Amino acid sequence: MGVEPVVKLEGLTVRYGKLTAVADLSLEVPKGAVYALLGRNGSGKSSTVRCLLGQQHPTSGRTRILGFDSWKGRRRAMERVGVVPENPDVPPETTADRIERFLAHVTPFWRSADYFDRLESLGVPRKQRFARLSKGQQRQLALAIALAGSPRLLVLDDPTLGLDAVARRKLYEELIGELADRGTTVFLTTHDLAGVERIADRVGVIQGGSLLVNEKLDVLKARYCRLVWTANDNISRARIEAGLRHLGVVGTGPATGANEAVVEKFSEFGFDRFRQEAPVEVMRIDSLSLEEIFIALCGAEPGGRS
Amino acid sequence: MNATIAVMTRDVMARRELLLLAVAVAIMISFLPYLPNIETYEATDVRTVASSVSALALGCMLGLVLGATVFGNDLSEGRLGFYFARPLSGLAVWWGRVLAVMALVWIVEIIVLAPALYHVGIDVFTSPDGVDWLTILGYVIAPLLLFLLAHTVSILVRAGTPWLFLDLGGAIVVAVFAWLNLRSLFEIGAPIALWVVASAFMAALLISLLIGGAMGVASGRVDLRRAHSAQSLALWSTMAICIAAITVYSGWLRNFGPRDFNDVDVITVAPDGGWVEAVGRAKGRLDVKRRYLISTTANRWLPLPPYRQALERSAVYSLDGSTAMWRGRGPGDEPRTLWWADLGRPDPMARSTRLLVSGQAALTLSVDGSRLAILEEGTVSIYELGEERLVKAIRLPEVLRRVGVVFIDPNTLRLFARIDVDDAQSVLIAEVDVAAGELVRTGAIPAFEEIAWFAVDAALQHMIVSSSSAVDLVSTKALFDAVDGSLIRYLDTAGFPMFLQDGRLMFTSETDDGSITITVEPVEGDGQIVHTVRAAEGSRVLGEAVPNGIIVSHLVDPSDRTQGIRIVLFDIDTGEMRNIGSHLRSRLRWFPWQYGVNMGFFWPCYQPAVFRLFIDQSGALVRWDPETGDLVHVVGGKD
Repeated sequence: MGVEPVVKLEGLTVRYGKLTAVADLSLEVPKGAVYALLGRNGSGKSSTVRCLLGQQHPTSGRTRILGFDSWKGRRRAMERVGVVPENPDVPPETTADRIERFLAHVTPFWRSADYFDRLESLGVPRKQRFARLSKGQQRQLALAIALAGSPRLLVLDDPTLGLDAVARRKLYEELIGELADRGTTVFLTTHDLAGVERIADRVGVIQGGSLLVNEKLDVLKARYCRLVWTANDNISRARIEAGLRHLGVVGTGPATGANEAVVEKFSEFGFDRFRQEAPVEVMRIDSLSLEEIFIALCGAEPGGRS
Repeated sequence: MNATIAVMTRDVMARRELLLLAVAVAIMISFLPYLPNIETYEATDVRTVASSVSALALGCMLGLVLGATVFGNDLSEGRLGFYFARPLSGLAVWWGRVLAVMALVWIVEIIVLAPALYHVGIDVFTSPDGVDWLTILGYVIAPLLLFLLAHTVSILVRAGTPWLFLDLGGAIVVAVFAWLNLRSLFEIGAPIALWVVASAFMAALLISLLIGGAMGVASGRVDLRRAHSAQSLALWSTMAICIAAITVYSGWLRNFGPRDFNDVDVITVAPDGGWVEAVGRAKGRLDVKRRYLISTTANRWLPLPPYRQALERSAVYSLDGSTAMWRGRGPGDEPRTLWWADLGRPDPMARSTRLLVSGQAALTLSVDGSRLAILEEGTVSIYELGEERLVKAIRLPEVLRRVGVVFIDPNTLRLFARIDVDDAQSVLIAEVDVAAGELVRTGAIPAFEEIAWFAVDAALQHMIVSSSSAVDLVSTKALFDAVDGSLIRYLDTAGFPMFLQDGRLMFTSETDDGSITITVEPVEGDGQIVHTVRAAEGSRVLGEAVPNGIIVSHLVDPSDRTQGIRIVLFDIDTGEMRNIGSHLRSRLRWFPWQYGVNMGFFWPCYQPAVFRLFIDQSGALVRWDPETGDLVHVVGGKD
């Protein structure tokens, strides 16, 4: 009998009238993983997160979280889930101190000491109204709230939105520290691909409500690369294109004095086949950053609804 | 429960500035009497009125504003996710926030009321009749109702989903049902039932809004569109159940038959005593009264329109008791359809006519019920009842006041009317020749300063006229010929005069010691028979129940009133008394005229059948059978 994944989406579909925001989305996140769900604006990430948290009822499909049905068992599940929403939703008139009194009453595994320590280390004022905090402080407070509840799952919906580079780094460091301490499972959505590349071990790319990619980050990065080559005029374009098919070409174009192609199925075997069919002079094989892979996947696609 | 309290506490703390606002208002009110132009008023009154009005106004305003924003703004701005990202149930979120708002509103009201409470104390919530529950409900319920209404409207406006059509349709259906239920209770003149059913509608609205709001938040969570659909479904399903229950209850209140009567009032009696028009109440039906035409001898009845003002809308009968007629249901004084029934049939049925009459019209049926005279707006119209055909309409002279007409035969009516002669009054007597369409004057009595009333005997031959003088306060009674108006003689016998069925005059006077003097004399005045009935305290002559037999009531034992009243039959020829029964009372709402004519001051002689009906100890209507001497249960008296 297998271990129940911390997050499980089965055929999740969300429609708003005639518009399909999420289409038959299925994925699993095992315990301890850091899963990054990436997508352009309006790709369906936020709808997925709301369904996952049991805040929105899906049109069809099921979402499970910590073994509970997200909709029916939301209250139980939320006992061990920390949430940092896309837009911090802490009541604007409250302060860090006052909200702690409320959360301590309603969160079973609340750790006040952790909460206050984290606020102190982050320099978030405890007596200031939430609405008067800077955006970075608001997000740090939201993260402090999420972590003080001893979560087994942390759901971060675009947590770095609107943060400067320093604040982003601080937030990720905080997150990495937390993960190192407790091994909390993380499910996050973000546009900060460089940042997430440092912490994610699994990645999903959603586009138009459908999941294009769902795999471990290192596997994804291993199969995506850029080939740069030169070829003499004897080798026809058709032969090169035939050879590139073995590597799953995503796009081609001219480079400075050479040609280049981005492939999504790079392997030693495929590369050999390419060389046999198209005897070009390969100048180099570049690995791609997560951002480059994301652009290769989604760059040409139109956006959907978030 | 802890979660609900936690949410409530948080929301109260979040809006605690409202309490400062209330304190500021209370302080302002305290200084109000010192303002120019207001300083002339009593300071206590100014503070009491100002704080009472301000508290209610502020409470209602806060209810509205908070209702429109507490959930609506959070949903629109995506802030409700804060609560749903915690292990809180949707119901805890809803009830916690609703309780917080109401706690704040009530505390604000109490703070603003403080100046009034300081000056007049708890009297703020009392009226001369005791605790003023309406005011208390105003302070407590009105803000809650406004909060819920504003919340509901806020959600449906912000969401703008097609469920809006259900909301509109539901609101219309509720309004229609409320109107129909309340109107029907208003029409039958049952203010207590009206108040109870109206309160039930308000309670249903309150409960439905609470459940609708709760389901909207619990099932919609952060999804505004889903919140709207859940809210609409819950709101209108609850409302539908409540309206169905209220409608059933309201229908049960309104619809009951004579068998359910536990309290009966007799309004009119057919001359032969075979049918009565009665109004009854039933157990549990609050103050709702139903009116029926009820047979006193068979287990049959006909429903009559709701009872409101018996005098105007009573049934009328033909003298032979074979026909009854009444006005149909209708609003106010609008013309309404005439209905009639052939009471001589084994199974009488109510039949509508095409005839419309106003509430002021006087109706008279001919002796056999074949013809109907309608006296309305100075015109006498005679109809063939079976064919509903107008036989003749005769315009009356404008000098006639308080006209009354009685059929002598199907082609002749006797007319009595007051006429003013300078500063005096007279009674004009005339006959209406239906075939010729003519009004023929037959006579008039001499003028008196003021005529108080007059009564006519059963044969329409003689009339007693009671006149009074405003100057010397002397009351005079005289006997006249009822055809030519000539004076027969002045009546100087002591007591209240009335005609017996055989045309003789009877005078009755009751003394403080409980004895009754009954004097019977013929029209000519010779040969008086005087009886002194030594009954008991509270003795009273009711009327002639059988030829020469009058009904007298008296206390069984004046020293013990719990033993009730005894009814006896007194033979005016022999002076013998015959016991009819105890714990009986006469229950007649109005004077039981033989001809069923309403002319204000015209009293035709009493019907004997009326005095054979009593209400027994259980509240039942019973009929005394002169032949057997038994009391026969007619209707009512149900526990």
